[in-house]
Amino acid sequence: MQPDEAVTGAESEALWLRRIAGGDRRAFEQLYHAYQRRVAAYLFRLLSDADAVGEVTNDVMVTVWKEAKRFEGRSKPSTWIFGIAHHKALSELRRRGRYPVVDLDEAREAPDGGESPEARMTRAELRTTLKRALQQLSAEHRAVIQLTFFQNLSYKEIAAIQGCPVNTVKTRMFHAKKKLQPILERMAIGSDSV
Amino acid sequence: MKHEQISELLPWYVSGTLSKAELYDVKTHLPDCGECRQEVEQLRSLQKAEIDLSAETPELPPNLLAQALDQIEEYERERTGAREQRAGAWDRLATAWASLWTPTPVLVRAMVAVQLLLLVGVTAFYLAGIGGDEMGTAGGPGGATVGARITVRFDASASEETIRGTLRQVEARIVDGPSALGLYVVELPATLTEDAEITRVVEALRARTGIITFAERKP
Repeated sequence: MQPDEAVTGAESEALWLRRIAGGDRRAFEQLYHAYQRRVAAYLFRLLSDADAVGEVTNDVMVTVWKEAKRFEGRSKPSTWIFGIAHHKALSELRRRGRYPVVDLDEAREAPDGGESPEARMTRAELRTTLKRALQQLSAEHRAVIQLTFFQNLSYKEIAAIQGCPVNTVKTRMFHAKKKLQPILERMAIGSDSV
Repeated sequence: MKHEQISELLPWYVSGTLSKAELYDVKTHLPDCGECRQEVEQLRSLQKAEIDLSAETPELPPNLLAQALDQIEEYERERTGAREQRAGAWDRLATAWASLWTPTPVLVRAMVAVQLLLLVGVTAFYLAGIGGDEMGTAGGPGGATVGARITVRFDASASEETIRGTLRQVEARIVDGPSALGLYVVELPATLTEDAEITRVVEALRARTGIITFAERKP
């Protein structure tokens, strides 16, 4: 089924949530269509488990139905929904004993500077290495990067989603980027020479 | 704003989510700071890698929405439906029972008693499955085979006649509903077993947009 209209924007989404709180299942379908892929992409980056993504996505969306009455409009609907998704993902990781997934200082698989093998890599290989290193960051750091660069959320929204001060978000981004720095620097050099 | 403060805003400069004031500060700082310009380039590489990685999210199963709606149905049923139904049935029974013992004429009491007996009888009749012929069974008399089931919702403006015609076209019959959320479950003939055929029926139902607003195969 197609959504009724290509209704977008925080205002329309807030309206859907109010209608969902009143038991309107059609509004739920519209919100579901608007968010299913975004929530799934976020969960996939945190869980790295293709089999679990569908189930946890539905868990998030059904929680949206159950809790819609609690949405007071103090944040954007997207912030509220991703807050639920974040909580569910971390709960799932804790349940599996995988939280924190990889401590920043223990991520030995990630390149850690110097004249490492990546210095000899081609640009395509560097991209692959960067993606692998991104996957090996801790869940909180993966979350900050995903919410920033894929979901296009502001650091204030990310702080609300993660339930932490904005400075923590900035610090997490700083540390995550520092970990990836050697590859990013190498890519910059590569782009100059290619 | 100091260089350090500008530097920590750069990821959100790249993602385009800074406030106007912050954007102004960053834009006025960048032409004079090679370090920050280099940082922006690196962050763009990081952005691209993250977008590529997130785009690798696997395709989700096609019936996820139907599953979510099932979960919601169950939740709503547990939360309100069952309680209300129990309360409603009890109230009706209590009223009928009380009316038997109020000082009304004998005839009225007898009529109420007869109605109660009829109600019990009709219920038993249907429970025993004797009255099933009128609704029809997909597998024929005594047939235990169950056909594929589809969750549907009818358009509020659709007439009973058009709904009936649509269901007849695909030989579907209503076996459950309406739920608290207005969903029905229809069953296809048990002879229809091929997934491709069932998918075609689902698509045919979806195509009747003026009559059916939602159709998904039940998992």
